[in-house]
Amino acid sequence: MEVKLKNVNFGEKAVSLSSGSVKELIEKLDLNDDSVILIGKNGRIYTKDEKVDEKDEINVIEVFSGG
Amino acid sequence: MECEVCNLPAVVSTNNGTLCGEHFKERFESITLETIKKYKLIKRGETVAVANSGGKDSLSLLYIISKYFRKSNKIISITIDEGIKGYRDKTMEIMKEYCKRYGVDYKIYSYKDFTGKTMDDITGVRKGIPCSACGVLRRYLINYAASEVKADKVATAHNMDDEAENVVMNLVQNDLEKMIRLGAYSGIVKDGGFVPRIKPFLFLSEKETMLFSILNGINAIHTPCPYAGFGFRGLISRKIKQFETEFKGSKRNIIESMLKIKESTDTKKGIKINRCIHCGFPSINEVCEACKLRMELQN
Repeated sequence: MEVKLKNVNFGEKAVSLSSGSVKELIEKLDLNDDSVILIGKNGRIYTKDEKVDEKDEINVIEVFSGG
Repeated sequence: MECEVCNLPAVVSTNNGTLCGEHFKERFESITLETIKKYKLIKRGETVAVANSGGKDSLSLLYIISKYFRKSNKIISITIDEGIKGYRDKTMEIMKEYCKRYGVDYKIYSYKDFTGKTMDDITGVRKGIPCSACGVLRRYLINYAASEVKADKVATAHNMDDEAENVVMNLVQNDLEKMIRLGAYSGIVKDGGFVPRIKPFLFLSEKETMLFSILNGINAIHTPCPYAGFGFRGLISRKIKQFETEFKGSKRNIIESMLKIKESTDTKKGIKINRCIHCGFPSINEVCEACKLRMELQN
């Protein structure tokens, strides 16, 4: 399956996932669960043990220091 | 994953629990209040200055402090304007909006007023990692600002990630003296020129703080400082997040270990505080680090 992503740094892109899991998505982005918040288009916030909805568009918010 | 309290879908699973949005917000506030109570961070009637950059962490802190302490304490927001174009100017507008919304007065202090240069200027004329100079000036001006507004305490939104990074950095640099000055109530020497710093978010992670601001509709900019992520701290930060993902509770354990070392150490031993001959604020040396940097920038 392919999932659409949005992010302030990389803009928009699509990523293909074999398992469809959030864990796989996070690994493909070279991030880890403690450094990212994933929010679907309807406001759903994903946790790492879930599957991604096939038609969802996910906002990838990277956790950063400061502020 | 389900919320451990109500079985609704969870939005987060950390060392502090697996929770839905509403129960996460409740837990976040209760951990903040427990930290304040356990370490006696805020006493009734005290003036509390909140160091507020207008970013996600400090706006969340201002939200909670004003929600729970506005009736019993005087709250004032202090902002340090580093002079980072396209970043701090934007967050300062947000800061003003939220201070107005929460009914909190604010004051702004700038690097430009203190040194004659903005942070953007400083990075142009000074070699090395920008964060080291920025840290010296920010710490100095936060204390200066808190003294000027006659605050009894200055609350910062330092979280579990910031503190764990500090502990590991101090260990790697073999700087135990600096490490034992950390903790929820910062500073080990009582001196009229130091306004004690308090960290109510000490046991909450960066991810939790960010999520709290999102779930409360706090309209902060979710981009880091353009100078952040360089050097040593950036590396330690990434490694600690990796540790936490693999071994849940790592950050908390790093902090708890530091607190145990701090408890068993005579923290006042050997530290003599002088007054800076230029600004009069407390300093270990004859001239404080901020005045040294100011003179360097003015020459």
